[in-house]
Amino acid sequence: MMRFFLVFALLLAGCGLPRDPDETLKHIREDKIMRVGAIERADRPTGAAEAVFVRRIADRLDARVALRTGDTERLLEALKAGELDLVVGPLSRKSPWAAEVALIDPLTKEGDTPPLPFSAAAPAGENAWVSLLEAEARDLRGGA
Amino acid sequence: MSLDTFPEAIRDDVRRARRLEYWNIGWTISIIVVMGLAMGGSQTMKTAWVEDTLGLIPPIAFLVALKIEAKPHSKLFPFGFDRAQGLAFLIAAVALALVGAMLLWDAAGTLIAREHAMVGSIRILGRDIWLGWIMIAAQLYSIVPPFIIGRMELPLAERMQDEVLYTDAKMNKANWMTGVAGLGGVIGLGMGWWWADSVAAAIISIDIIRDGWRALKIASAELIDGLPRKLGATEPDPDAVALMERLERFYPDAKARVRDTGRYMRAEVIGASPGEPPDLIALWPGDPDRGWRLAEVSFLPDKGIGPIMSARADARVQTRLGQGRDGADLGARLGARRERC
Repeated sequence: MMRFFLVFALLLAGCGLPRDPDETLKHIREDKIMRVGAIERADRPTGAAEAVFVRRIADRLDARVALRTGDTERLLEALKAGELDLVVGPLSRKSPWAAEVALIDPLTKEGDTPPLPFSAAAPAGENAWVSLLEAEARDLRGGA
Repeated sequence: MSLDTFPEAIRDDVRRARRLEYWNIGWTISIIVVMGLAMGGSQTMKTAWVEDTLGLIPPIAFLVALKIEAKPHSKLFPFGFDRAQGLAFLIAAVALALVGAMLLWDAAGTLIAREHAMVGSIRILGRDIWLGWIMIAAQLYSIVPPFIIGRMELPLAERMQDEVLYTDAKMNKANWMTGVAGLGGVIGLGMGWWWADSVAAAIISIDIIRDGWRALKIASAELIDGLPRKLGATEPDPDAVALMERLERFYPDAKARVRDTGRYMRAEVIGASPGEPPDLIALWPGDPDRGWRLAEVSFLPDKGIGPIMSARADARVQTRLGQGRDGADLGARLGARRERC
């Protein structure tokens, strides 16, 4: 019994888990377009960290960035509806949106950009895509 | 703790069971820690973790009840503490059923809302590892101890006629099967089936509810003096039925009834005078090694008129004045009670 499940788990290892339920990562790779929303704020221009973040991912996936700007609410709604692959901007972990979308850990070290950290959000449960974004965010923070 | 109040035939088993339950608690805590660290955003993991935590209830209930049961009878508790086990069992059953219902509610809500669980990654030694792998490893770990401990508990529970220990053995079985269902849930989630996580969680919680419901029925039957049940089942214990028939054959004009008090059976013969003190061992219809289960046979007058002569078996005679329906002192309750010291 146990051996069966171990073998099963190892077999799956070859299949490249995790995969996205809505295949976000696959679509970006195939269509070579990454649909990004940047949150616009009157008091602050879009941060450099976000720009670097988006550029790095686009390069890594060999995709063109289709950028859209807007306010937080509208962009996150679009993300939820599957019209965007990624939203970047000042986002709080404590936001009610945290339950609706997958929030990535801040792109900068804590305290660099008060009061809200620059962060990124992906469609909920797109775990392959989220894992890739998380890895990139860690690199940006300096491997933390 | 002195085990003097337990029949000699099962003292070794009691000792072994107690040691096993301490080990069980230790292993379960290690599983709770490992699963808790790996839990993340997975509903399956949360549910499995809660079930692992609930797995602490039966061993703790067992140890507490054993401690109480080991106390000698006293002035305030003249019948001793045989039923501590039944009470512990009822408490465990209620907890089990309620938490199961709560988890099912959670899982169903997640499914209906079509919530997609986020399971991200973690960086360990410079490598990004999907948290799902950590969860799978934790689940695999959580399968092993309950699988082994549950198998060790089952024969002990049968020899000791211990419902709590038996429930614990069943719970351990449920726990390792939960681990398997949980593996399916996490792997399914990794495959991109967002619903796999909640479906596995729902299956696990239905299993918890079933355990709790069955335990609740058995515990209630004992506490309202139902006919003794088979261990872990709601069907009557064949030994109890045979004992009742035998008593009625020995005392043809009388009615006999049998009930469980913890691991022991107590019988009442209504409307017969024992004449000779009954030999409890000779009365026991089942396996003689389990003769200790018959702890007491009482003889009650049919209409409660006059004291009936006492029966002194290998036992101390208990005389207790009964109150009749009209309030007058009507009879004496006499019994043969096996000394368990």
